[in-house]
Amino acid sequence: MSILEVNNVTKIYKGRRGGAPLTAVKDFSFSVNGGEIVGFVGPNGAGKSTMLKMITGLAIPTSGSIAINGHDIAKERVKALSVVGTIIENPDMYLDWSGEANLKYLYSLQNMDEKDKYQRDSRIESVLKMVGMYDRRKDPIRTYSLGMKQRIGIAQALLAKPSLLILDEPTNGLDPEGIKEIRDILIHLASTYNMAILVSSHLLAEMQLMCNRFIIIDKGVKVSDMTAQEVGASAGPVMTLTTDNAALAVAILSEKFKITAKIVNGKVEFSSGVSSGEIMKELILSGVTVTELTTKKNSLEDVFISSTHGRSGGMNEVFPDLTEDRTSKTTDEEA
Amino acid sequence: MFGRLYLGELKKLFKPKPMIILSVVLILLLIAYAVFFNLIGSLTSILMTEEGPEMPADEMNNEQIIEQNIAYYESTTAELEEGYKTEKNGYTLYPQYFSSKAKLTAYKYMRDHNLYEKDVKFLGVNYDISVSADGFASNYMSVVTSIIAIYAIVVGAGLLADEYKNGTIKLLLTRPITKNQLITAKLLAALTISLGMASLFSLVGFIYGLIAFDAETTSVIYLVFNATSVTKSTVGAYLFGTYVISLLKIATMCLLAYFIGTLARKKTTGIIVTIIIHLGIISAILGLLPIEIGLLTPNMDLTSYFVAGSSVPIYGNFFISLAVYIVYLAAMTFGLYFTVNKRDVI
Repeated sequence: MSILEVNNVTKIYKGRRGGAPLTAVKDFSFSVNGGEIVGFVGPNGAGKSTMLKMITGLAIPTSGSIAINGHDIAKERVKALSVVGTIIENPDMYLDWSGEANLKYLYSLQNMDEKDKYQRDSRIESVLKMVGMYDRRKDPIRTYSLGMKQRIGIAQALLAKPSLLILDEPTNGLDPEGIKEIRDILIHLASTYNMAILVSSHLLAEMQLMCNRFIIIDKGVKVSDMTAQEVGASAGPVMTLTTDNAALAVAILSEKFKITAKIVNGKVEFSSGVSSGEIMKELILSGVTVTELTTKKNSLEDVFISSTHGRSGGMNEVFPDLTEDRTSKTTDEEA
Repeated sequence: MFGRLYLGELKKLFKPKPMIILSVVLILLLIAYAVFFNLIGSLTSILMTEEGPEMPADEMNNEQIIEQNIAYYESTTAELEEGYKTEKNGYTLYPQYFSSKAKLTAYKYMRDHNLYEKDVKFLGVNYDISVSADGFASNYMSVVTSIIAIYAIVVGAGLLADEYKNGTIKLLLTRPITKNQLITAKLLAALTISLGMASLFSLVGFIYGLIAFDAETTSVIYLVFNATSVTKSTVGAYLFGTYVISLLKIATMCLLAYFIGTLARKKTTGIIVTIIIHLGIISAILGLLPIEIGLLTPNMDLTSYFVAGSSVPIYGNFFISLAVYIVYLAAMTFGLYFTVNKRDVI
């Protein structure tokens, strides 16, 4: 059984002050199994946060259902949320309390029946050590840098030994070393504890390093759901051929391999599952001089841009100014 | 279970600085009150002197005095009743009519129960809680109530609004607890702190009163209830009733601020709106119209139905006031729970 099951979820925000209703998520279904690290990607405003908020009980779906470990979040909220660890948007904590005090408080809410203080303290110690914040545990959150807050945020998400971890931009504010540490932690958690992890991020290259599956959302609709291998292989790798006779090369590729190639800046571009060796051999035998043949694997970014029809408009949207995204204030709206 | 949630909320609210400042203010007021109590008492009695029957002649006995009073209040009540029912804008006469009717009830009770010779004390008729430990406590309690109500408003308005503002609401709502548990724990924590402070200072006032003045706590008094019936009670029981109603007032203001602050998602909105209501500004304006009985604050002072005074709302009646009060409390509670349950965090 999947740990997370999302079935035909739609979320419509009522228009405020006479505005038109906004469909943030439309008829969205997917599931996440234990051990999977699923990257949840999409342009700004695609509905990522809304989806993650519905999964974590912060927003109520207009229709459809979400079940965690078989418990419907609308009907069995407490049971469903007892196995979920989350960071949504900013890792906000009680600023005047120390990191440790925050964790103690949140632990008490997570395990309201737990009476064993030793159990609690050892759990808190282990998550603090896991995220490298043990030495700063007595300092108030107010004195932490964004990266440190992010680490404490991850620590609180892990407190409950969750079977589902929902992380919204978990590496935001971390330095490259910190990003690698978090990545290693997540990979370790998924493989060792069979945890299901759903993570959203703007750092597509970073996502590709740790996720084994990707779900792409655009305008509230699921446009793609593929494994890391499928991303690499989708539509085959892109090959670029430099030759003295581009027109002849295109004709041969079409005739021998049924490949549709096009000439861009005097170079022949095509994608194919056929190996580059085969292609080289055939072209040379036909008398075409091959100066260079490069093969480039499809990146998540390529898939992302083609899936969202370039709507994201290139680098600015794919890698937006992160600070801009962070300034969104937490408010709420009537459902 | 729920206890952990409640204790956590209590910990968040327990901020020594504002509590110390509040305590200092209340202690200073206690001292000022202690110094000026006698003066304030006599000033109030001068200001509060109402029109009454003629001073009894020296040769009249108690029976004759009571008969004279009955005659006076019978005619006054009838006049005022006629006035508030028929005159243009006559409804403003209603509280006076109510007071007069209550006094009439008191004197009739004296006559019917042959209480001529005994020194009977009818609260608000021929007796006021005087310069005594109880009188001091009663007066100081009303000051404590007003000030602690403002503290309760500030605390209540921020209960959820602050969590929304700081983003920590997400930490709470993603835990395996229900929204209702969270709302309730917060309300109970705020009430514990504000009502605890109010109780503490009411007690301090009473103890100071005991040291400085005599206590009349056990002496018997008669209360005219709702201008129609008479009940026998003691000063202590009346004082305790006043104390309970004071706590209820503080709790109501805290709940109202909690609801408005949450609805507006802004602590300041909750504070401003509730303080305006608490100070009776809205009811002072609208109270000029005969809709006073439908407002919240004029109906909150349920003790006014026991003192034969003229501070009841227009068209007021104990049962109507109680019903209106309960409807407001229910609406605020329902509104609060409904808002949080139906809302998304975005």
